[in-house]
Amino acid sequence: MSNPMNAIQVESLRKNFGRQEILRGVNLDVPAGSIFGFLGLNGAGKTTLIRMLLGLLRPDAGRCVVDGIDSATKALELRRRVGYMAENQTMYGWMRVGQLIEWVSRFYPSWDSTLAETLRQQMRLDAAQKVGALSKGQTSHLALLLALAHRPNIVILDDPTLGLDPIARRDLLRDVISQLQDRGATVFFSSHLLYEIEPICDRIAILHEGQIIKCAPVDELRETVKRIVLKPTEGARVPEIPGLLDFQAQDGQWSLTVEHAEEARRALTPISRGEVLVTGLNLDEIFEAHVIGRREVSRG
Amino acid sequence: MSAVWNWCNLVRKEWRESREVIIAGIVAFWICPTMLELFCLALNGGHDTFPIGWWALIAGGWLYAIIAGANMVCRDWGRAEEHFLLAQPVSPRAVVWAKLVVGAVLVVGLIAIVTAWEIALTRRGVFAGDSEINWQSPIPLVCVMAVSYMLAFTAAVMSRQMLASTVVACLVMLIWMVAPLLSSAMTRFGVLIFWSGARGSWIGEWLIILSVCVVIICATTSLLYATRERVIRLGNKQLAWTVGLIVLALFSVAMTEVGSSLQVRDQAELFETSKFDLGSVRTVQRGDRFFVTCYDYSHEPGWVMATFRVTDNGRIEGLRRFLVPGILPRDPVHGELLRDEITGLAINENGQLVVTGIRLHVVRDQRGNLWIRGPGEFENLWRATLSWPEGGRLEVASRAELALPTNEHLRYVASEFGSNIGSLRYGYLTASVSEGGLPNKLYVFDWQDGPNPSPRLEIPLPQDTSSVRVWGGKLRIRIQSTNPRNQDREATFDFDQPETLLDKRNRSFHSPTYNLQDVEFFRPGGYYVQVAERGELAYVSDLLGLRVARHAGRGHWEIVGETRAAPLAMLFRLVPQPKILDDSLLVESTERGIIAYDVLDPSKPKRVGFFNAIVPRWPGGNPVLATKRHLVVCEYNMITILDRPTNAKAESQ
Amino acid sequence: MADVFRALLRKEWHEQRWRFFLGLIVFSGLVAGMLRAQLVPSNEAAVLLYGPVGLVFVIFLAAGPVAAERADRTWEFLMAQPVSRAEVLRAKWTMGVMQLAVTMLVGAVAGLLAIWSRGFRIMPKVPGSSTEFSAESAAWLVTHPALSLCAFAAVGTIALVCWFTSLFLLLARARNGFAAALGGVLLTIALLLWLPQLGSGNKALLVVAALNPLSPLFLLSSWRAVFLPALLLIHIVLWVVLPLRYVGRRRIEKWIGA
Repeated sequence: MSNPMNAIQVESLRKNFGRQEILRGVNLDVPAGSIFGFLGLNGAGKTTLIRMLLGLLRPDAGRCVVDGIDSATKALELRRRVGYMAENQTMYGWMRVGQLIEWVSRFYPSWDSTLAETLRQQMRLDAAQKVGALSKGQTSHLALLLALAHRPNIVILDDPTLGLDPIARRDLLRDVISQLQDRGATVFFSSHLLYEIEPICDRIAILHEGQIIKCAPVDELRETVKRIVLKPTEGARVPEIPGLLDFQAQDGQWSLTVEHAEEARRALTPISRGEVLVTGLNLDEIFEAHVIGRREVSRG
Repeated sequence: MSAVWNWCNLVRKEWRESREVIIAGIVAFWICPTMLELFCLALNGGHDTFPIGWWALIAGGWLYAIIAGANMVCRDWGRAEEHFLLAQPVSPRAVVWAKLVVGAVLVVGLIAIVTAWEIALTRRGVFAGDSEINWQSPIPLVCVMAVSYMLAFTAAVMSRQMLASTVVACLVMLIWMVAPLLSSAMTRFGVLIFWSGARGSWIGEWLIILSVCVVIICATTSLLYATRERVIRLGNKQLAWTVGLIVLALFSVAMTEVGSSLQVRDQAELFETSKFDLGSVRTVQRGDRFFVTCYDYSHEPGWVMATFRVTDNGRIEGLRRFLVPGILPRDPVHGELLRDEITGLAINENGQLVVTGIRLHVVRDQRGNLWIRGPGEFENLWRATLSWPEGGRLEVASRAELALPTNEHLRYVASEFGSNIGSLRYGYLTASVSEGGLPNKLYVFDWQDGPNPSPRLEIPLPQDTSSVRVWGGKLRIRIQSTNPRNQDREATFDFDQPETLLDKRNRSFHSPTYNLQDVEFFRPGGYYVQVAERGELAYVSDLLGLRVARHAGRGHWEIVGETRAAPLAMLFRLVPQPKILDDSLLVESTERGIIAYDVLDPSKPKRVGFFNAIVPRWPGGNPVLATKRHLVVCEYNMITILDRPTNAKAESQ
Repeated sequence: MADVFRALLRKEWHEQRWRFFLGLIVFSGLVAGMLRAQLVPSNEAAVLLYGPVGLVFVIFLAAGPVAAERADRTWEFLMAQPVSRAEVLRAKWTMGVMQLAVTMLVGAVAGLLAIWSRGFRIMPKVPGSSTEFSAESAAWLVTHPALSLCAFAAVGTIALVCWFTSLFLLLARARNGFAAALGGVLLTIALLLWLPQLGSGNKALLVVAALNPLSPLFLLSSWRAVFLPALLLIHIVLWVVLPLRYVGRRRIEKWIGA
């Protein structure tokens, strides 16, 4: 049953390519109006999931409901209502900018030509220039224009800043935010540049080995995931700590990344020789701990 | 409505993207050929040309269609643009439909432009010969190009690879073109057969039906495959191995169809010079001993005779040669040179060689070339008996010349060019009232009447007899028709039974056919019919194969057995002349060689071998003879001994 | 220097050996099949095999090496190594020529075995044909099937190597396999269209046509034997030696591109 509060709802999604399991039962809810960050390592299956959201791939099991539409059965209707910008989007190089905009506009009943023209001028794209002659940054802006000009309620961006220089990346994200935030549109933003996602996203989900291992608001993550550093007493053993993400022991010092910092601190204080230090983490470190954290405990 | 609108949008894009392909097609098949045609028209003395564009389209249109079909898909599918295109609210099937329709319009449009142009030129009468293009002409072309396009298109949808789809489509087209050569059942579907001249026949309908089926199947497959996520990836290596092995397999099947050549056991050059008259070769056999004679053109023209034995192993043994001078001293009456022409060679009951011939007048021109005069300009007919004992010299045992009637304008009766005067026992001469006039009398001489035989029979010929000659193993008397609308009529006789000429009841004049049975045995596609008779059986060869017929009374024949030539072998099959060598072996001589058949069972004649012998088209002199184990083939100056195919080694068909 | 060349050759062998084995099997199969069936006389079969079929094999060998590297993008990696473009091309050319020559040789051996299995058949001297020419001509070659096959194989191999060299250098510009194959086919068709001038009565056209690398194959049975070695030498210089010497020059590097 789809929840009208969710712009995107994914239930038990599975996908195999031959013998390789890409997605192993993914469950995901993206609230309407949020800016949702979607993280994962290279090859985790992010693009596969996004293509299934758009109805470009059929799932082996499970379903995706986007804007109340089942992507497996009404893919065309869905794509009319969703703005999509792929990673490394390659468009028809022989078309001119103006021609491409005009051609794409015909596929979308809700296309707003005024908005498209405004965006084109803002992005400083020459209508007479051939698409193949555009720089990487200009190409990304053009792809964003095509994704936004038909005023979608949901915009899916798959690694939109891939290959752009820092200034171009900043400009693109600023354009995305400025266009969409005010309208209350939902943005589904996939990237592995965490420092970009952190300032703009409300919620994030982490895809790892075909499953969502974490889905929570960014603030909540920052609040709950902490690093605890202590010097343990001689012969001390690491107690059972729920939510242990990462454990490092070096030079007689333990460094633990945990999800429930207060509980962990209480459990560790008795075996600490000195003070138990609790520090905050950025999204990068949180992501790293979730994805590649060492959870086996060894005697340091 | 919006689906249609989207589809039109897609068509617009495809059309724009196809611009280069369209321009390439128009330039290659219309503009450049047109320029060449105009060039020819201007430079050619006869102010005519031929439809270059049309022939360019026939020769290369299928390849153009294949490349267009593959390009239509692979220019964006299988590349990064595919993701952009499919991310739009369009279904993959709509994209495929748009590409299909644009490509079809492109291909048909190109054919229409070229056809219209060539028809316009045809109507102006600028094409030489019988090059005529009309609105029915492009039908097979449309079929072939549509099939080529669809094959490449479907392969491209399934693989998304330009090279792979082009190669696969070319391979399928190659198999289609070659299939009729491998199996006669495939002939009706053949492409090339349609263009060979059978227009308007049932063969064309099958081509259209097959093409429509292929187009429908390919279109359906493309639409079904469009939505599949996984494509068939063909790497260059797999592709190349597939093509190579298929080509090898097709070739092997083709070679199996035509069978292998007969094994050569031995060869020998008979004569030392190299200037021979192939038509004058005569061979005869006495057990395992063979005698060969032919006319030598070298500076000492004459008749060379050779003899040899063939051993059980197929080796040539005891080869001996003898030169019979060909040019005799000047004719005392006319002052011209004389030449003895050998027209027949046989072995008599005493084991002696019997040679028949004509003594002709020849003229030497200023360059030293010798020219034979016409059938009326002969000296005499002669016959000689030669003995050539083992280890001994060739000796003339006896010689006879005709005692010619005087004060008559005489011509000898022979086949064209005097290469065969038919009988070894009887000589025939015609007499006419005036020189060069129509013959009114036929003289028959019997060589057994002594060294100077006088005419044994004097037979008046019917009025309006235009010619008496030897053809197709018969003596033929032809009467010309007084009404120019009617055909001449002809009666045939056995030249070894001259007494049959006396009874007028034997003279049944009818329209001339070179063999009576030709009319009965003619079939479409068979073209030239040649017959060899043995007892009550007739062996009928034509371009389609060999048939065996039995005489069913009153001049009618029923076919009792047949073997068809393999389609590939038919390409190499020229006018075959059948000859029965013995109870089980029949050999057809063609300009491309000989074909051997096992005819022991008349209901099941079997092709058992072939050999690329160089034998004359109308062999009057037995170029192929047989022993129990071998075939002896006389090719110009070379004797070749071949293994005789046994019944157990019968090959395909 | 020699080490680098050997290393390049080894790499080429490893990458291209499948072309060699495929060509060897198919070509030898065709030669043996055609000469055993004896559907056409041996010398005609030899012209067909070392002509059109050989040309297909040349296109197959010439269109592969550079275009495949470009399509796989390993060309950039190779150019980034301390090795010149000229050296890379020479190594690829050397491997191609070796594969071509060995295939033609093995094909000839297969053909000889096929002819032997049918019994060696000498062709008769036919009045009015090339076999009637005097002993000074090479025509006597066509009468003996084994000698005929060896002669056509040798002349054909040289002719094909000449065309392979030029085609290989021209197609080095192609960016992918399809473009290279198409280019190879079109250039070979243009080459074949150049050939019929051999039958022209005009001496100037005949000389121009004789410069076609394939011309010795078609002239073998009709020309005087003494001219053929000279013609072959001219072709080797014109179509092999000069282009290879040109390979290191800047113009050809510009042609081949990055």
